[in-house]
Amino acid sequence: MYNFGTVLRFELIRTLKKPSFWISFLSVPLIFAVVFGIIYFSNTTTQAAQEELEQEPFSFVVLDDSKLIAPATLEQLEAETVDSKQTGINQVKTGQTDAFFYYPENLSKQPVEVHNKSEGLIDNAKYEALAENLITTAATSAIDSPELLAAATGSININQSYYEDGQSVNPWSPVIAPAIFLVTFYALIVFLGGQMLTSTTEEKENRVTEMLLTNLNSRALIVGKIVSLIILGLIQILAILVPVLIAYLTAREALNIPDVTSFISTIEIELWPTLLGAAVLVSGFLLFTGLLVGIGAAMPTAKEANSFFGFVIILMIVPFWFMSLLIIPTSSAIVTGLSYFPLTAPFTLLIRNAAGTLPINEAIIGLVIVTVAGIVAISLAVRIFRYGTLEYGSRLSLSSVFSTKKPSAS
Amino acid sequence: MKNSSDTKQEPILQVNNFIMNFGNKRVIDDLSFDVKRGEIFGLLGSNGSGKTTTIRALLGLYIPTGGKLLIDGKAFSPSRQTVSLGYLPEERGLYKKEPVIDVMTYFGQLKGLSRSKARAWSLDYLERVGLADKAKSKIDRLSGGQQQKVQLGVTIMNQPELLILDEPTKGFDPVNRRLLMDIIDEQHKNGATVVMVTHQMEEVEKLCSRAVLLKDGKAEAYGTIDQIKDDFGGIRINLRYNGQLPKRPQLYNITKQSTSYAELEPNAEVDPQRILRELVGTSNLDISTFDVQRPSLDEIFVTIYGRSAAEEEIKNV
Repeated sequence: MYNFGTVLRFELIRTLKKPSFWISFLSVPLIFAVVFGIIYFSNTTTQAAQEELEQEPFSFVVLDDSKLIAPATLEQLEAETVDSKQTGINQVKTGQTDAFFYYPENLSKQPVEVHNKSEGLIDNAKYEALAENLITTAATSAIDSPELLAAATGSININQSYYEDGQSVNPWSPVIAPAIFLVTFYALIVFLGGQMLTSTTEEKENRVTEMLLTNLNSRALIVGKIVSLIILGLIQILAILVPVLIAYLTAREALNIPDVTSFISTIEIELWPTLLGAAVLVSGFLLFTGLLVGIGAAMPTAKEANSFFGFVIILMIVPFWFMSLLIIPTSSAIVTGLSYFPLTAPFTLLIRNAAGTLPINEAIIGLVIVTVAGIVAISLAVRIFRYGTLEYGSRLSLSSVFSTKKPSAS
Repeated sequence: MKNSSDTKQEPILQVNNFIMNFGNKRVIDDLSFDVKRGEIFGLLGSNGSGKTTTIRALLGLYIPTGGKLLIDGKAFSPSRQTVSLGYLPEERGLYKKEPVIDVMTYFGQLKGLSRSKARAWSLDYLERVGLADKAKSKIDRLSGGQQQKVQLGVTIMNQPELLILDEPTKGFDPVNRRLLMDIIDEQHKNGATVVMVTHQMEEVEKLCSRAVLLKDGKAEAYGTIDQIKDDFGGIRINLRYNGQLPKRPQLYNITKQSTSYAELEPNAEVDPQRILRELVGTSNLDISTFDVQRPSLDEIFVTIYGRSAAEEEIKNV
């Protein structure tokens, strides 16, 4: 393709030189880091405050109609008992004690009551925690058997094993590799969608097309732009992954990062689902690219193109609303329809492929549909760009795309 | 078509029986003309007459319904071009968010220059037009006139052998219009062929050796500027006098007259010298000036397209 390299270099360099490019994608991990930092700081502070509060002694009185709490326990905690609820409440109100816990006779029907002096949201929680701890400790102490105690408190481990054709299998192992294609496709749409849409509107808005098309053909321009976007996407991924990888390899223990080697060893790569996932990813990307570039070339401005972009994205992610139907082996008319409709097929096929619910015949038909639609979309995009971008300030009609007629003369 | 040039030069650009339909509407109907190497050629016409369509079809941007449009004997293709091209479209612009030098270098590379040569040429040009300090500025930070200078630079990069300028002065301020004219003159002197699509008849008259006038997609006139003038206006006599101007319908018609000035339109085959002899010999008439003139292209434009079209063209300039 004549001048393809020049276009590719120009598109790459000018994007890499823009601070907005780096800010836009580095802001994502940065925002995550900030949010996690805030959560971590908040949790640490709260925990420290909680621990500090727990060290602070406070007085409380108890009325135990349930008769579950042993008097020795109350004595150990230096808690006194009262004769009536009202007495306990009055003692709190007058400041004679910090808190009053009332345990009703029937705990399954009536709530435990906690009355305490108000000390703010965090400080108030310590009284509730102690009241709950007192009764649960009392209840579990009544169980003699540690096995029963574990069962009652849910402190048990379950090891589940799966068998297929007489062999022990891990059902998640074959899911991971095909699911990577699903995640990759989703990431491509999220990261590159907007850029693809506006990649050709710029030429139209700036009225550069005619000068460009006398120096190179439209296919070279569009393919150059698409390839540059893919490379930019890879740069974005690398710019995020490389620091993470370096941190993992050099300071995993210091940063308390979990060891993922055992997880990676469980990934099972099956040939057919992996190949199918890759094929759907490529053809789906072609379709997605063709649609967005075509919309961008047909619309007079990026603003107008954006409204159509939203429509395409909604159609493409429709399969996620039918996730529960897609991951069960039984097919239905809806699932088949989603698998064969070009716009919904990529995600449907990728989800079903990952879940192992995609029969081979539906996989082949769906893949052929997406591939053909992708090739048609790219060809149309090139054609729309070639003729649509000459229609400055106006939309391109479909009839003028499919014929050699052009809408205006001067 | 009224006339054709008889030059023996080999054409650099040929349009043969070009037909263009948009839907059911025929916008170009059997148009033929050629442009010789090294000449400045005018492609003229009112709005909607098919000028830009012809240029776009010539440059492969439109697919013609019929006929052949050739540059150096071949249909235009960016990758197979044997003639270097400089094209200034009617609808023009540049990447507004990019630095001037980057955009100029990019277009230079697209035109076949190496990156270093394109950059060096661009810096020289910017120096020449007084924009050296703007090389690293984004184009949208430049004034309209400065952007026009950059646009012109991009057009003439790589010393084009064929320069196609579609409404070149449209939107240009007087300074840049002068710069454009200088550039056209310079390129022409360097051997470039120039095709001008313009409404500025004065410029056509000054610069072009030949022209084609399109009307409703057809060539209404074609040939040298003198041939076109002969075909559409003949000659006109401007007369200043004292006394009584006689009416001589067998020799001329008086098209305009005041007390001491008149414009005469000689009849076909009547030599202006004969009219002069007749008037000099007339009693009660003193002739102070007798000026034989051809009509301007502006007048021919009005003759062909009508006054309203001509006024519209003037508004669009």
